[in-house]
Amino acid sequence: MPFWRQDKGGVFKKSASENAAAITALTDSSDIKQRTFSYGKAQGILLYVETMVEAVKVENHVLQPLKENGSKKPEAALTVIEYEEAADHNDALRGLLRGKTLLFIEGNPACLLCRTERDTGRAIKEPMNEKVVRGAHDGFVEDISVNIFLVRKRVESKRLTVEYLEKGNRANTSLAIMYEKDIANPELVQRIKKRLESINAEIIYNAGQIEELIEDSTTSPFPQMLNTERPDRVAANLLEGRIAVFINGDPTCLIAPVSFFSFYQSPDDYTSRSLAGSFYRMIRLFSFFFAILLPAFYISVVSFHSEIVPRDLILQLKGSVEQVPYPALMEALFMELTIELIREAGIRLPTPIGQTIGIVGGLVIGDAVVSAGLVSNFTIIIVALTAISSYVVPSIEMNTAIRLLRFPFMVSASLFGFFGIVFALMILLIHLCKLKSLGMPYFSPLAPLRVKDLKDVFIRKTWWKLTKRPYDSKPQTLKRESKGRQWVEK
Amino acid sequence: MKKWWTIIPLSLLLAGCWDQRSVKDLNLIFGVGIDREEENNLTLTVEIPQENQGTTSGGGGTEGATQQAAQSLVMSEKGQTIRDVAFQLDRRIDGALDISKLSVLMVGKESAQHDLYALLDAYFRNPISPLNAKLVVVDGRADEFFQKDFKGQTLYSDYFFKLIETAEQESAIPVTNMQLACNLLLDEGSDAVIPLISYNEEQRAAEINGSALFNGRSMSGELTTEEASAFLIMDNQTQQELPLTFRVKGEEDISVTLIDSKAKLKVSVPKNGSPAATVSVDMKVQAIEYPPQGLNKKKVTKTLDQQLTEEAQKLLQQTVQKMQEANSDALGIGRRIIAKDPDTFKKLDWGEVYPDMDIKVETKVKIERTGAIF
Repeated sequence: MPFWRQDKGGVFKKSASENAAAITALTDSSDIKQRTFSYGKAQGILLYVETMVEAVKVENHVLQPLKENGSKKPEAALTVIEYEEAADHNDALRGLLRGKTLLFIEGNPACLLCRTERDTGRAIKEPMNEKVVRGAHDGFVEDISVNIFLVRKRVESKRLTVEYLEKGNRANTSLAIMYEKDIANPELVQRIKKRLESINAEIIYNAGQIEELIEDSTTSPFPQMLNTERPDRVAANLLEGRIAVFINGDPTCLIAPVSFFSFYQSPDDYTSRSLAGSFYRMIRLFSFFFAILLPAFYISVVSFHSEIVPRDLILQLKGSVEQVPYPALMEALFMELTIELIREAGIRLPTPIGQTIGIVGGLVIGDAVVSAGLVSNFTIIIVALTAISSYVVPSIEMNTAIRLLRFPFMVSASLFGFFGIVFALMILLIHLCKLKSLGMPYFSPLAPLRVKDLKDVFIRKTWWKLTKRPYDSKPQTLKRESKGRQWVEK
Repeated sequence: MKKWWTIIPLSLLLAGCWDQRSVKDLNLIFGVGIDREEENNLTLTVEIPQENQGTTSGGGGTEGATQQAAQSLVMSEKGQTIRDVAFQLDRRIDGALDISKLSVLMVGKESAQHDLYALLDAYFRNPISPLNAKLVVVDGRADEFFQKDFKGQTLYSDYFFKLIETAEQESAIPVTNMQLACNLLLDEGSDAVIPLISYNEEQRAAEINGSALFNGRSMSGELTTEEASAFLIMDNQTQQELPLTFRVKGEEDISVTLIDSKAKLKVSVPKNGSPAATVSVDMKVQAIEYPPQGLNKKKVTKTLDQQLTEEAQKLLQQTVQKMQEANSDALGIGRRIIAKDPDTFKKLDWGEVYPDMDIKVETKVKIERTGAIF
């Protein structure tokens, strides 16, 4: 429980210095500063955390107006944009820690909280992990209000609703839920609110923590909430009746409910032409199968079903596999793990060294490992193709999911060949059909099947054909407020 | 600690490893030759391509090394059955013999004349044997054929396979493989036609030399490549190309290729009396070589059409005659009768009736195209 809810705070007295002393007694930190000044005939005291406030704001909007207008009421004199009266000591302390300036006037048993927070933040930049070729290049930052601003600027709707929550019993982190009130299903809004309310943590570190605390299945390899740093993506999802969750201090926005296929949609699909968009989306979906099945396929061909290799290729395959002392599974596992090592090293290392590692890892190890007879060159091709296809997915969350998934597939392929692959695929399909995102079917619109919604799944139909919202978020109104190509004479 | 029992179901998963056939432990057979010997024995010849060891000796040299043609190892052994010989060979060769990539199965001509199916039974029984392997009859002995020197060729079965495939495309032989041939060998209502391959001593090359006609399970006659083409026309089995060359007006030669042909087989089974059949063929051809020219003139084409019709009629009739002589019902006339009147077929002794039955051939040839010039 945060301190301001734990116990009732003290009441303010008439003496300003007493009030200030009461607050400073609750917290002792050397960056809490006190400034005494004369306000008309009375004395005034300002209390603030030096590291949290913008000094200029305190000077220009609090101190100066108060000194000049000694006769007016303090509320009338202040030129800050927002102020409020603190209810008790705890309330005042909370404001103090948020970067507000406390104002005490001698003889007035009250405390005014003036908004003087320092707002320094990162500049709005394109998110590194969700780059697009065309379209908007802005991305979320760590400041929650900037993030909400970025979305609001796009969706100028009177129905766009933001609800704040404070979570983190000690650290007190702000969360915001955002949705279109007349589109988003109220039941889902209630559901996500209930789940968020139930969070009882000391601190909210990031979106991943929230996700883990509120998602439907934590053991599933698949992400059940869409992570994005792109405001345009959030805006599009809000209008499909989904709910966005912002976390102060994390540029990632969580979107729920989502379907499996949302992770394969990229803003690029919509900025490019419908044909091109559909083609690349199909490539992406195809890459899912490629990324999880290719090593497994190779293993089962080499160890069970060599007869399906074309006659002209089999001698090359046999020649290349023959000098490798290990079974195909070991070979593939070894190379897959090497790739994962290179990837992990590439992230941690500074950019210039990262590239070097990529070259050393990719080329040198790849070539030397074949010459040394540890791994066949077919395995290198397979592993490289798999790695490339796993990075095609626009979502980093889904990317990690499919990179993990291919290992059980490899094992089942080495045990039972194609039969094993099919068996594992069946389990995967059953899991996908059973999985839920915020209580909504994850594999929609395939399971349950809704043919109308397939317009925007494997292909992207032209904009003017997408007149209905997808059903998986159960929006209140299915029909979009758009009509396309009205100029066409019939 | 109580979870130790999960090891039991997990270890059951390892049962799949029993069926593992790792490609590196296999010795792939690409070609097989079978010959009958005296006292019901047989000789089995296998061709095993030897992949180049050390193809990837170094990063740079990889490309050059893999381009080298594979050498083959040919081995023969005598025994009682195919499997018997195969096991004998297996004892001599490292790795397990595997026929899943078999491309050509060759049978000596004399062996084919005594129950071909009996020699293939082992392959049809084995689920991993490739049913799309080419089945050919060799002029002479199959084991000797594999020992012959083919100019510049190192991987024999690959060479034979391509040779057969090209001949199939040019409609010189029917498209067959183990599966298709098996059906026909066992069918009482129609008979198989299987390509015939021979060795050209002068050119040191293998040569497609017409087709073998079968009567039931045994080979009973031969067709030349032209006759085989004629058979394909009558059986509507022509492929992409079918070149024919005729001598017309005494000294002029014309080469034509088939554009389109339709053959109709009419079988009549009278209540009392022997069945009769009519094959009517309507061929549309393109002139691909005719030095005298003048094909734009109606008079010329008309006479040419007529002469071509006569020549083609001769060829088709000759083919039918040969098939009847060999008692090989390759056109499937028997099957028609079975379909039409099964009771009559049961009463007929088809093997006796077919060679003497009346099969009429009606031919019509028309030059439809003349190429880029007239």
